[in-house]
Amino acid sequence: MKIHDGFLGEIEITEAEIFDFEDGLLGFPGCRKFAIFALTDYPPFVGMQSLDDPAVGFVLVDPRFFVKEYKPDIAHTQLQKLDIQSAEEAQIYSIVVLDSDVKKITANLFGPILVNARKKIAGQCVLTNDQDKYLLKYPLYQTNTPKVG
Amino acid sequence: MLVLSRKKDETIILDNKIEVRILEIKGDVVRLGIVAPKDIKVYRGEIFDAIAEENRQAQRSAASLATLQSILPKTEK
Repeated sequence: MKIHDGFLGEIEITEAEIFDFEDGLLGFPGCRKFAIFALTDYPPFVGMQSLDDPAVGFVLVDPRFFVKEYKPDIAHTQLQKLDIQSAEEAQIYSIVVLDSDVKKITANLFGPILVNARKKIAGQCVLTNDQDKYLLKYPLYQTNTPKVG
Repeated sequence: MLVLSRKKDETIILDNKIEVRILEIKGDVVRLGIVAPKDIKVYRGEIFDAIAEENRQAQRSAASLATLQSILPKTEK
């Protein structure tokens, strides 16, 4: 199906790329359905576009591209809701705050989005006790170099 | 909204399993003690406000995707 993305204009997405956010997204309570799709020109970044409100769209990234040892402590009840055994088995994304100044681009490691691709459900989780370890505003720029395969 | 008045050391019970006790009242600070089953997560409200605000900021607007190019891990390219 075709949807309108705030950045890319009209894009084609598949049914498999549409996820239900049963609890909505903090700050956007009316948005329950989002398409999550690869930004093919900007790997590993991923787009997330609301299907309820065309004005609501985000850039996501799997935080493990930048913080290799990212292991968020997520409440059991939140995992249960998404029918996920552990955070490691889910797709994990951080919401990215863009900025024209690259040094100010941050990712939210404290409120990750967990996706259960099998059941096509997703939700934003609030970590239970890692607020100092996993920052709400984690600058992506500084971690440019360390990851070598 | 349900509004209740409580004195020091008094409690409220939520859903038969969560106890909230007024431990201390000092000026404009109230200290609460919360006893709840392990699967009930308790957060300060500001944490949710902060994440909601962060989400609002992240909503893509004028910022350009092109800036992302410069933060891609070098080994990814």
